[in-house]
Amino acid sequence: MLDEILRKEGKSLEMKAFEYWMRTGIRLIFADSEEEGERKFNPYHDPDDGRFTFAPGGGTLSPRVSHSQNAPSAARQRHGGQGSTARRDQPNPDIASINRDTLQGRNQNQARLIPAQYRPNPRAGMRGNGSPPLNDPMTLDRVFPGVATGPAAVTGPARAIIGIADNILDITGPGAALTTDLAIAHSNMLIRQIREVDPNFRYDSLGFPSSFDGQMNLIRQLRVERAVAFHRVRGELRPMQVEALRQMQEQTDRAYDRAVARYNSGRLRVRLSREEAIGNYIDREVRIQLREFYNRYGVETSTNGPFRIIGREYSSSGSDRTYRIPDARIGNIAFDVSLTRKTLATPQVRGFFEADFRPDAVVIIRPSQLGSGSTYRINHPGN
Amino acid sequence: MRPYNPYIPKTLSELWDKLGSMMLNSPTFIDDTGYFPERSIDTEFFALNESLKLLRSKLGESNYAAMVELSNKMRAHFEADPEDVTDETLMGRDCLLAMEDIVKSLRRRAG
Repeated sequence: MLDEILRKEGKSLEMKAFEYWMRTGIRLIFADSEEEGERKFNPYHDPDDGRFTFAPGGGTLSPRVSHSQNAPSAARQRHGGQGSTARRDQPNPDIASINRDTLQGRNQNQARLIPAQYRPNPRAGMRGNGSPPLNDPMTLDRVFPGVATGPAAVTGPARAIIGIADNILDITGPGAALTTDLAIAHSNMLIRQIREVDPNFRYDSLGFPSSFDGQMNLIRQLRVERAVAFHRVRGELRPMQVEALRQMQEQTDRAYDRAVARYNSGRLRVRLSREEAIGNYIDREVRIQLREFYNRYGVETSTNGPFRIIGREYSSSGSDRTYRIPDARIGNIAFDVSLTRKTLATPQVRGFFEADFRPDAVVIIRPSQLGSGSTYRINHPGN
Repeated sequence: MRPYNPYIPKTLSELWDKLGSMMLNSPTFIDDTGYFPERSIDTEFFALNESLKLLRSKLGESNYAAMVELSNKMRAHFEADPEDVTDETLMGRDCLLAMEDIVKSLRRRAG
């Protein structure tokens, strides 16, 4: 499969390895390469912007190229050069241990890419994984990047709307082919991150999935486990906000297709309109699936806790106590599934922001079938 | 992977959502999102029937009996037409609509 991908993309294995290193900071080696010798490289990347940075404690510029006892046979690399440090390579992770204590199975391609050197973020930080080969945002800021934008002629409410990054919730991301080796590397990284947060985490496996779907499912599950670990051990909700959004978006898209089919076969109850009927069934599906999702991972929902599903969110700001009911809430973020586009001008959205829990943002989830920018985030007007 | 225990709806509102979900996912209820690969017609009807038992007092005896009968009929229809090519699935979904009517009337009464 790897050879086929290289042929299609017209790239050499070395070029592919270089691209992977540029995106992730992970250096891949060829199992069958006979090249020896050290070359200068900088393995330290700022996870915020993926740029080269200094090692902890500062770096020095030196023309000397160090040799490491553990330097693997490596693809030739070209690096940006700033802040290069001449230092010994860190010992390679135990390649056998990747299989032994995490996952089994290897691609038997002739030219195998083996993760040569991975330095997990020692604090399994919240800033995400830089620019991973697979889209892996850990906070909603990564899912909805950039500053608020809106039509140039519109000020005020529209400028609080931030669109979702393209393909950010897709497992593979744009243009990234999920090879078995990439899936193994990513899965190993996720397991390490989970263990850094929860050293007691166990991953029991009968073997690494051989099918594409199986590999995607595994990555999906490990990401949720990571989010659960962050919540349970550190009280950190942001990764769970991303995983819940991912789940809700997938269920929304799926439910939309099915609801349209049911409507067309005359099996949806229509009270007001086609859109109301379809929207009603989508809402119900997303909510019950979210309950299933929380149930599976031991996440409790309650009226007082951070995880809520169609809970009344009261506002005591007026003379009368009022409430709104977002479809879901995780911490300070409200989620609402909708067919129609909603903005700050929509009374329901204004009501969310007036609620006592003072959300930082409201995420409107709409079926992707409705076009780009279907799902977006509305920031609190004061932010 | 964590073991899958289907979620049992605990309130009329959750049961209402469950019925809506079953409408969209019938007749096989197989999950293709990857989140619940163990899901099946067995797990779905287990969840539905356990929910009916939980809510028996809220449903009342005659509604409870009607819901159980509809659930059994519905399952038979879906099992007879897993490919959704005959009228059996449509008849199964009609059972779902009848169950929705019962739940909706109770929710309306409860305010």
